Amino acid sequence: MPESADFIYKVEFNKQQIMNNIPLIAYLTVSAVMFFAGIYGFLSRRNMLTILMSLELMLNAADLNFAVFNKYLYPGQSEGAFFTLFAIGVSAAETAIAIAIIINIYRNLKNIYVDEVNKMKF
Amino acid sequence: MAGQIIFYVLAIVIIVFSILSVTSRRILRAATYLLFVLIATAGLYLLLHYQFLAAVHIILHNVYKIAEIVPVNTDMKKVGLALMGTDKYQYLLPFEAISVLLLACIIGGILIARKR
Repeated sequence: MPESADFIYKVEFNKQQIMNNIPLIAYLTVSAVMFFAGIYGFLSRRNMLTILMSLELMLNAADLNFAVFNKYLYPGQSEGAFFTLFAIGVSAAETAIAIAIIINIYRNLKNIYVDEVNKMKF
Repeated sequence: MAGQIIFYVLAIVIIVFSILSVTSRRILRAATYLLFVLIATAGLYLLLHYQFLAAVHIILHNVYKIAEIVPVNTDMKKVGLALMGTDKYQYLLPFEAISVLLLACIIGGILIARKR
């Protein structure tokens, strides 16, 4: 498989010119911790707004991974950066709609705790 | 060397504040910690030389006036050319799609959250 050798060569080559001598795994560790903090918050919180914040954490970790992989593996191209750009836009739209829905639920049911909102269960 | 120090400071800030943000009991504190995490993520984008991404990230997450100190250089021209075209590696179609999505989202948000 010629691509794998080429891939490894590219990684080795890019190690020479990685900015500031920071390894790729350091960025990945940071985004992994951020992602798992988001998963923990998503599963353990009861307030809808904090669940939304955890979702934001997870989206941020994924965006950071896109940008980092683009910069470290293919520094000549910029598809990962543009994907990150569009993902940030989509996450902004999603957050606005989710907050609108949460406001509406609060107006109708007077709470935003997920285990007490059971009117729309079925 | 300076880049390494900046990276490790940002990494520690991100790790500590993201964990604090999901474990804090008070919602306003959690929101503030999340804001710190977002600012530090924008700092990581700056460290990777994605100035435009960092600026978009900060502006979209409502941190006012920090975007003015982000340096704008020829990266902006590259981004603008890549967003306004239909060739290979140009992204006019997703750009327009996301603009329609944001418009629909604004209208839907107002419609849902409006007082009757």
